[in-house]
Amino acid sequence: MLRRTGSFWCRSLAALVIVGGAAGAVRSADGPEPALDQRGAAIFQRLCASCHGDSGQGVAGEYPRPLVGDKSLEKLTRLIERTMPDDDPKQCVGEDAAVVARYVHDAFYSPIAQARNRTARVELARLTVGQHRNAIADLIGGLRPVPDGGRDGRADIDSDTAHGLRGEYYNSRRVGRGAVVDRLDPEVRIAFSGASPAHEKLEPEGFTARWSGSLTAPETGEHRIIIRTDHAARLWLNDDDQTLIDAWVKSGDDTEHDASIFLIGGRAYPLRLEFTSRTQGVDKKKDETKPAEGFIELQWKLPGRVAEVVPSRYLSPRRTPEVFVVETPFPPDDRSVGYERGTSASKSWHDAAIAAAIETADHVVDHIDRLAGTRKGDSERDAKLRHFCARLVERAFRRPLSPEQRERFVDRQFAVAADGEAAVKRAVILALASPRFLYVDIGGETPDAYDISSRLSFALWDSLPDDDLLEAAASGRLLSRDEVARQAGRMIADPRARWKLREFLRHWLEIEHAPDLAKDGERYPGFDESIASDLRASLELFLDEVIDGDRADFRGLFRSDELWLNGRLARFYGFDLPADAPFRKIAADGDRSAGVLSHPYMLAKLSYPDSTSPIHRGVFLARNVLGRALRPPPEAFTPFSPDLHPELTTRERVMLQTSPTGCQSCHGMINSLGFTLERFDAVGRRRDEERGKPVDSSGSYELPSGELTTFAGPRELAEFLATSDQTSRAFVVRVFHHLVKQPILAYGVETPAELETAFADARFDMRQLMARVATSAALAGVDATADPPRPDQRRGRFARF
Amino acid sequence: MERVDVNTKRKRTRREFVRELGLSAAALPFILNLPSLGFAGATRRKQRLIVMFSPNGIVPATFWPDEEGEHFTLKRSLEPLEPWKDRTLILHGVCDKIRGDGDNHMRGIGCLLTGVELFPGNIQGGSHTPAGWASGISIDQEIKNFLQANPETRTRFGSLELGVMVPERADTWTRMSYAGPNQPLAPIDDPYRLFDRLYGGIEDRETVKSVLDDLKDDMRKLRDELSSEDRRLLDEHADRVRDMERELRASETKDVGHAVPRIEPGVEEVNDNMPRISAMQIELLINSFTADFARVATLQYTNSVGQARMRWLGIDKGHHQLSHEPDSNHEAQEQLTRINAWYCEQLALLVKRLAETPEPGGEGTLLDNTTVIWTNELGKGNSHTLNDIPFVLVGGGLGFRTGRSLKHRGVPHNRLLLSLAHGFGHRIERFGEPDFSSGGPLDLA
Repeated sequence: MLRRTGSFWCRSLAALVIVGGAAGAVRSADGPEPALDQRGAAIFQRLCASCHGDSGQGVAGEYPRPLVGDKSLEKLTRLIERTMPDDDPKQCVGEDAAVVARYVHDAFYSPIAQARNRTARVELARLTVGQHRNAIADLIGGLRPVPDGGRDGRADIDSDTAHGLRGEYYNSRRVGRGAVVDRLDPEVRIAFSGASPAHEKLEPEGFTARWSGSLTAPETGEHRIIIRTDHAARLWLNDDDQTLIDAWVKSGDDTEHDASIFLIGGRAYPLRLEFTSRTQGVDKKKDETKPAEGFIELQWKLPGRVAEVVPSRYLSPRRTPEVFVVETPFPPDDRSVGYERGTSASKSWHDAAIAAAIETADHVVDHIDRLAGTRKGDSERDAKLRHFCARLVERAFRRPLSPEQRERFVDRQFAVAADGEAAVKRAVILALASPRFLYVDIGGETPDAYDISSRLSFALWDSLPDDDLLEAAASGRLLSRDEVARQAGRMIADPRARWKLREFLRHWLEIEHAPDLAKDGERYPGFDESIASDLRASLELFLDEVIDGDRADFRGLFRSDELWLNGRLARFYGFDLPADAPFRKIAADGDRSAGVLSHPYMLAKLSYPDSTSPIHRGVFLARNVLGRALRPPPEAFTPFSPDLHPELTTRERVMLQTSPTGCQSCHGMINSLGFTLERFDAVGRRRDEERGKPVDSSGSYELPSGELTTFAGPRELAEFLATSDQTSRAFVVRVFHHLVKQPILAYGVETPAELETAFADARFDMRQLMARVATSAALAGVDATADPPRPDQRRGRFARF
Repeated sequence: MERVDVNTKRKRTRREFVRELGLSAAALPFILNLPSLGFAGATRRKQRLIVMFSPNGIVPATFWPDEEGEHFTLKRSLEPLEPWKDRTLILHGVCDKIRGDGDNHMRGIGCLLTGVELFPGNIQGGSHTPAGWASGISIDQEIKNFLQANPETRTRFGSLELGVMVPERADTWTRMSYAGPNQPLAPIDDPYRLFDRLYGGIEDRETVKSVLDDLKDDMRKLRDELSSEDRRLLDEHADRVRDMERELRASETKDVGHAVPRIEPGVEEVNDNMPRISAMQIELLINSFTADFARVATLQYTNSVGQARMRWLGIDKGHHQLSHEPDSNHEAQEQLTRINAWYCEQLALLVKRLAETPEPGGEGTLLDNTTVIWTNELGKGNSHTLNDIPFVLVGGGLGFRTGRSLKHRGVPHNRLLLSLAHGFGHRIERFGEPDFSSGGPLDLA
């Protein structure tokens, strides 16, 4: 028997709290009736306040936690009637219980009351680490001279949707002129065995090849790039001057060469790979003719994954400009409230910000002539450098400089520095150390059009506004709601917005870089690192398809009946595919048609190495999907070992362990959600029986209103979640926090409901939701009308954009 | 295989710096906690080694002293060493006996400090089979690792690989130092890049320090525009700025034991500037030793098969081209003698600067505690021989008895490499190809 404390039911009252504003509660516009309110308050002070505090804030040593939660008024009344006060529940029954419940509910208990009582406000925040990196990348990227199109005049190379790299093959030792083969290679995994690619054109004694285009980073962080070849090769990635891997000297038996590079996820980086099977140095006549044999592969190893040939979908034959990626390590941001936010200025953060400023300044100075369109000895060099610095500072601050600022941030730096380069360096460091760069939304009481443009770009891109936005700000157009909505609509098509959505979904689904997917080898033979890695890839493919679809359909996340599988996964999960088949979509059966819920990655992750974990699955569903916030259990428990109760199914075992009433207040909900997924074992394979007993995959969920929904299995659960208001409300709140990084209720208690409606109106298109969230956050505090702006609303001009 | 850092022209000093310190993404930044730039707290004598390289062999008749022992005459190629004759030890008869893949120029430089064969590879020389990189560590790096393993002898960089006019090309002919098999080290031949590497951190601190006033002024203005709630974060931020200012001020006094050197600005890396670049690199090397940045250095002039055109000597032809001329071409031999004498002048300048610089915190001069070895990939250019490789040692770093001309009879150069290690107290029994270590270190004391 588990410990039962005198006040366990108090815990149960407060155990189900809600994140942000959410769940079903209907806001009473007028508040409680005054007379009843007074009576309720009086009872509360008499019978409850000694343990719960005058306003439900809690009393140390008695019931220390605030009295907040999301039970309906009716349920709360019943609970009080039955169990309160702790020492003599009979003291408060009938109408007394009803009025005190009403008082508690409306004064501080309900989510709405919490929101009302909380002084939620938009706090001044600095850039998060991710925003900082993106902002610097786009700051430098935006100042780069526009490249000359870079079009090759070939449909297969120029296409925006083509995948793979351009492959050019030469009979000479050098690349660049006279390619004998020029084609699109979907990936670089090429074996030359006598029959080289287009062997009739390539000389048998050796040839040279170049692959070029760009590579899109699937993660933010270190990417390990690997070249496998038995000949010579070298690779440039995001740097045309400096090789990332130089194995141009073939030496010894090494066939694998690797290097790590820090990349920002979701962006494309220029790539060039060269290969030669010919010798370097003195060009001697071959005295023996060896057939050109050999191989080359371009691979990568992503965090927590196995090495693989870089898949075609991350490659493009089009070259993109270099991206300046700050490599200075930063301390992680605070995410204690569930989303990253920059609300403190620690020493380590400040040191990192200054180091990043120096790193950026070094890069700018190293490339200053190209960036500023000048050269050594140019008679206008000084003026061009000043102009460049002014542009840089304006972009960094996202608004035009006042004359005083121009003097401080640009001219003064030129006045004191020894030479132009030193002045540029000072100006860059000063600008990037300034709160005008480092803070998301800093400025006067009334936001202006430039504030709106920054808010939009940080919400959707985690980065600086682009030229289009700045221009809309400069003209004052951004002061109209229509223009803001139009801009947001434009911006969600950008890869940075797609990346942000992808990042959100990963966060929401708790897809980690290195999840512990290790499984008991005896129970689940064949479930190895490769399967775990493939599962992650499979889930990403599914999410990408949803994100990039015509509509980024939120409901599709729960309703999809398709599974991405390769040969290896198909074999393990019992689908019919050739062993070496690349990833493709397979139609799945009934139970498997629950989208992410039935995806084996999720099911395996939310399991123990040797058995499923209905509790983990249930907590995930309650917390992440339905937005219920759960307190940790009153004490730490070790789950019963399956071997201790060999006669019990997992479901039975979990029910046994969580049967005490103290557990049931939360586990009643957790278990009955998690049990629904018992159809799938700890590696996510479908099963019909466990320990000789048929699997019971039925479950249920009780809404805060008390209404009970039952599910026969995963499919019904998924359908419920796809259509539940509670799910979409919770999702909207999470999306808001991920995008804006401010508490949603600071934007008004009605904001969640408004966005939920907008989400439904947009037929649950997640991209549209993003646009709507960004629009609403951007216009906070702005008196925006659809009217064109009056001239006097135009503050400042961006002469230089 | 480790990433081979082969490009010498890159200017990303800040990033290199981060990597150099081994800071992973998990580590926090460093601007204010640079590793100590001051002296390692050594009480023992600071021993140092410099390996200086010049290419294409020498002219034996104008290089090697005829005599053996303490009484000898410096011939024309070595004349610049006259003032340092009693600090000089000339070793004749030491041979590079490493065979295997690669032509003699390749093995000449690739096996010179490693004493091991080259891997088979794809670099085709003028003769012989193609080869790749050396298959082992070089002695300078072996000694560096030995010194870095001991807190008493550990320094900020351990070793510095410098060059003068090394082509921007990574292959067997351009690399002499190896951190291990297949891990050639690129010499830095751009004095400005070297300067950034040595002093960039200090310069950055100066810059940051000098913009903080402007930053603080602007933050004060900004503060006035904020609500009182929002001032909390900005005030916290302002505290951080003040902390940084304080730390920067405190660090001023303990950065380096000497003033940051000034180097001549705007010297372009072109053939005709070779003498100026050489002088700049020597100056930065002396400064590095004074600051105890490193105890081991290499100074590589051009590369194996190097083609310097010493127009400042009135010689228009490329060095390698000249070195192929037969002994009977007296004009060419005369020019080669003058070329080697010029390299010897660089050695003499280095030695002079070492001798002029007092040992910081110790006794005597840098030269008393430094051994400079001048060497070459070939014994003689037109024969491409790897016998009688020039080894001229100057200074008291390793306790060798100087003021002598020694003539050995075909000893493998691995034994000399062993002597260098033993000179530092690193008593390894063999180095490079094991067969060539028998007999142990040469007795030079």
